[in-house]
Amino acid sequence: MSALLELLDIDPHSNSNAELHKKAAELDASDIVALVRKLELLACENEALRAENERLRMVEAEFERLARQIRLVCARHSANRARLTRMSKN
Amino acid sequence: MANLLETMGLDPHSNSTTELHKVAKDMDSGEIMDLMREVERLSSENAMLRVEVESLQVKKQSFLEERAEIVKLIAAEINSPLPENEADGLNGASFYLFLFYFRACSSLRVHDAHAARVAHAHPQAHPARVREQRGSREAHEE
Repeated sequence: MSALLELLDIDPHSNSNAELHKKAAELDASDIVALVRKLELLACENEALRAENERLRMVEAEFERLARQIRLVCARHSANRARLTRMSKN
Repeated sequence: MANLLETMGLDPHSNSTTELHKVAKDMDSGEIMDLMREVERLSSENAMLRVEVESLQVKKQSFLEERAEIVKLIAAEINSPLPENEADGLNGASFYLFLFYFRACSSLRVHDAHAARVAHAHPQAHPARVREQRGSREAHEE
């Protein structure tokens, strides 16, 4: 639960609608402004986190693609090495 | 700006505190409840996104460690002694591996001084050097 809601003794999960209405009516303008600011902060933070997630997912995909290519090149390299070793023995 | 705030005509960035106080005083309990629920929803989403970012960062770290391991293997492969007639093919393959390594670096957008050091320490992996070696060998054979 949000720390601010906890501070205001509000729990949207366990408080009933009537309780929430009662608590909402008791909040003063400063509490509401704090809620507004918190909401805005969370919205910005979430947007940044989503962007970071997307960036990391792209890095992950790129790494996986490169890992596949490296495995392929390594296999080719090993085959080449074996072939060249055979040739040098002959 | 959060959608809910927009629909309520609130903008914490451009509204002054006095303006926000004025709007807050005019709000009914239903609107305040919407605010509370939205704060709760965004908090849960925030926690979930943080967990996701953390797990992806752990994954990225393990990829970086794996990459360091690959670099070591490539360096060992390049340094392994070879009979004269094997040099061309293996230098080509080593350079190919190096190409992938450098592409991995650039895809991460990480300034990797280590990559530069490895490349400097193993100049034989560069195609110009391979060509030069081949040229001098052919000249010697003639």
